[in-house]
Amino acid sequence: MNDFLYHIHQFKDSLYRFSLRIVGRTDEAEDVVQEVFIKAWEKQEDYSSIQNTEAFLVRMTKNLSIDKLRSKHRRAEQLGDEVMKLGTTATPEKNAEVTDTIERMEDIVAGLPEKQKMVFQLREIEGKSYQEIADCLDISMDQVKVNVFRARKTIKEKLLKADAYGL
Amino acid sequence: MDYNDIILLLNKYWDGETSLQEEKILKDYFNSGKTDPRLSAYAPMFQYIQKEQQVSLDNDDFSSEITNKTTRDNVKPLKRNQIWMRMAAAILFLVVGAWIYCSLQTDNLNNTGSKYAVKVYEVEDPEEAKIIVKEALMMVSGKMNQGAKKASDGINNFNKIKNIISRKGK
Repeated sequence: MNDFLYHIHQFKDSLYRFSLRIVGRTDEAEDVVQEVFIKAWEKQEDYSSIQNTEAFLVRMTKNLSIDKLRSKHRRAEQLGDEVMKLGTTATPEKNAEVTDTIERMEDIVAGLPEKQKMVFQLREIEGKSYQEIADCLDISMDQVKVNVFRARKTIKEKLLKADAYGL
Repeated sequence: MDYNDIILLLNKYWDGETSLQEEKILKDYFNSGKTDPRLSAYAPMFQYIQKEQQVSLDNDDFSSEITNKTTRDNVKPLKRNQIWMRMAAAILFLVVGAWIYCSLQTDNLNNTGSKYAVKVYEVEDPEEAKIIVKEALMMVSGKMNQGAKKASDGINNFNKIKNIISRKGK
């Protein structure tokens, strides 16, 4: 492994988690991160001019993950599977079955809109500042704050609702 | 931290106004196992966050896969200056090749004095010149006659076909 690969290796887990948040499957998230590493390695000369390598890698991961998700949906449509939607929105039946609180949280986060899901991942799981998230997702700080606020509001409401129903 | 402090921090958190440091305090509190029962509804969120932070790729598998793919067939990416050097070498090759070709052409022109190389015979005897010219004219004439004969044969054949067709038409 050369110096460049060694340098970007430190981001592999956060990139994997971020991709996993979008594509929802471990094997596909692993493929995405591999592809990101290979592409980055092929263009390593360009990286000397890039200020924020991690933000660049996250953007690449986001794009490849969304591409993978779209191609998966296309395949699903070809097979006539209309159930598959962006993310894995939980059904009422599934919610009733899920008793474990962590699993319930999994469903709540999976049901968030795509941008809120990405912002949630980078803020809550990866602990990034609003500015870093804005750089990674190529959006304004205000958009980041709005998405963080909305994601937390949805999660809070669903947790309180579940608690009220004694789930 | 007591209940009231946590409530204040939580309200700030839901409004999206907490710093990363304050969010860490909340995560630590809800994962400490000493959560106030009145706040237990929120505990799954912070427990889930902690669990998700531990998700990672299989280090060995991933690293060996990347190493394999980046060293396969010993293919290494060209550095930018290597690409420029290759382009410069190609241009230099073309320029030198064009220069050699042009100089060879110039030499040919200088040797023949004409764009086309032509064999020139010099004849001093007028009789011999007359014979050569006569032969040349005979040859040209013969070629012209051959051409005229072929044309005349073609016309005859055309006339024959035309007659046959007109007879059948009647």
